[in-house]
Amino acid sequence: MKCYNCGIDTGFETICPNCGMNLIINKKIAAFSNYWYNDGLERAKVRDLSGAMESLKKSLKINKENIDARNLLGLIYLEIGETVEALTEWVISKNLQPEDNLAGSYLESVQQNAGRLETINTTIKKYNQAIKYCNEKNDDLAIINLKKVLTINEHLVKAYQLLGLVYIKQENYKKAEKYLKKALNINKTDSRTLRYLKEASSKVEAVKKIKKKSENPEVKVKKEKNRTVYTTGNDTIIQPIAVKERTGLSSVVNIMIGVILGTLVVGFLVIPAINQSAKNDTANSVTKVNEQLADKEAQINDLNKQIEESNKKIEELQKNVETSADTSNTYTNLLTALNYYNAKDFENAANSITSVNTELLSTEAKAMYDSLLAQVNDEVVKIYYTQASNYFKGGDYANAINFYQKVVGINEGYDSGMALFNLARSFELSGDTENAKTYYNKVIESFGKYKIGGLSQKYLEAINAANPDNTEANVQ
Amino acid sequence: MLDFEEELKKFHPNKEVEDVEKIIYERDLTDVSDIVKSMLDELRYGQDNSR
Repeated sequence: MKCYNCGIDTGFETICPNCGMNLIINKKIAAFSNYWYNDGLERAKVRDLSGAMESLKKSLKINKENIDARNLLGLIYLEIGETVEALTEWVISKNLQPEDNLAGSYLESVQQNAGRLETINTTIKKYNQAIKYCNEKNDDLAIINLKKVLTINEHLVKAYQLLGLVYIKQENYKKAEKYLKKALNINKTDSRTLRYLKEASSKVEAVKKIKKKSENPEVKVKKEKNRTVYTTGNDTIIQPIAVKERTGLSSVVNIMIGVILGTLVVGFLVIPAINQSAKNDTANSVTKVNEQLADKEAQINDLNKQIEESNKKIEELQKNVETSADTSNTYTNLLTALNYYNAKDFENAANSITSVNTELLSTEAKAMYDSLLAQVNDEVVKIYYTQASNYFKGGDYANAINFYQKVVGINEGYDSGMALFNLARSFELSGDTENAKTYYNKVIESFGKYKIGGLSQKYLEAINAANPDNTEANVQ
Repeated sequence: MLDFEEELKKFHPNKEVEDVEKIIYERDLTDVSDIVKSMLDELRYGQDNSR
C-alpha cells in the first residue's frame, strides 16, 4: 500500500517507514474502497450494470488509485456502448499505474485498430444526429439513424432507449418493447429502460386485451354520432368513425383553400428556396473562380521559379564555357612559352608564361610550368635587367621602374641588390619619393653592409630632410 | 404516461473520441484520501502556528 503522505510503497506496515505517518486511516480508506469495488463486481456479474457503476464510482471517490475498480468501470462503460467514457477511465488508470495494468492492453486493443476508432466516432455522430432529428420532430429520420447506430454498435443502451421512446411516441409499442428488451439484456437495472419498457408493455397488453374483447361476444358495441364505443365489464374503448368526404359546394371551397395554400407555400417556401439556391450557386461560382485564380497564381509562381532556375543554369553554363576557354588559353600560353623557350626567345617565353593561370592547370601541367618558369626566369631576368638598365641610363624612369620591378619580382636580390637600389633611384628620380623610400629601406635592410646600403641611407636622409614631417616614420 | 418532450430532454449528445483529453482534464479526481491528507496538513499547520 502507498503512503498517502510520501507516496512510497509501505507493504503491510501500519507506520510508514519513510515518513513515519500513521497508515491506519489509509488502510481503512483502502478497505472501504475495496468493499465498494467488490460490490460493483458482484453487481456486474449479474448484469446489474447501473448498480455496478454506482458502486465503482463510490469506490473511486474513496480511493482514486483503486486500479481494478477503474478498469472494471471502463469495461462496464464499454459494455453499455459508451466507448469514450471507457477510454477515459483506462487512460486515467494507465497514468496512475503505468506498469502491470490491464488498462494498457485494453487501450492497445482499441488504438491498434484505427478503423475502430473511426467507427466509434461515426456511431457517436449518428447518435447525436438522431437526438437532433428527434428535437426537430423528424422521427422517421431519427429511427433510421438509430438503427444504423445499433448495427454498428449493438451495445449502445442509450440508442435502444431513444429508439424505444420514439416508437412509444409513434404508438408502435411492440417495436418499442422489442428494442427496450434488447437494452434490458445488456443492463438489467437501467431505470430508464425499465420505465420505458413498463410503458410499452402495458400498452401492448392493453391492445391485446382490446383485441380479445372485440372477439368476445360479451362486448357491448354502441355506435354514436362520430364514434363507436366497445364496453366489456369496466373497460371502455372508444373508436372514432372516419369522417366521410363532403361533396358539392364544400368540395369547391376545399379546392379554393388548396389553391390558396398552394400559392402561399410557393410564395413563402418555394420562391425563397429558389432565391437561396441561386445565391448559393453564385457564391459557389465565386468560390470556384477564386480557386481557379489561386491555381493560376500558383502556376505563375512555379513558372517564375522555373525561369529563375533556368537562368541560373544558363549562368553556370556560361561560366563553364568561360572557364573552358580560359583553360584552353592557359594551356596554349604554356605550350607557346615552351616553344619560345626551346627557340631561346626567353622574353616571349616569359611573356607567355606570365599569362598562364596556374589554378586551371592539372598537377602534371603545374609541375611542368614550375620547371619551365624556373628556367625561363633565369634567362629572362637577365634580359629585363639589361632593358631596365638601358631605360634608367636613358632617363626613361617609368619604363626603368617597370622592368626593375619585373626583375625584383623574380629575384629581389638580383645583381647583389643593384636591381633593388636602381629601382629605388628610379622612383626617386621620377618624383615618387614614397616608393623610393620603401625600396631604399629594403636595400638598407638587406645590403646595409655594402656600398649601396650606405648610399641608400644617404639618399633616404636627403628625402627625409626635404620632407621633415614624415622623417620619423621612414627612418629605420 | 410518458411525456416524450420531457424524456427527450434527458438525452444529451455523446462526447467524441477527440474529447477524451478534455474530459480527463476537466475530471475532478479528488478522493477521500486527498481530503484526509489536506485535513491532516491543516491540523499540523495549525499546531505549528500555535507553538
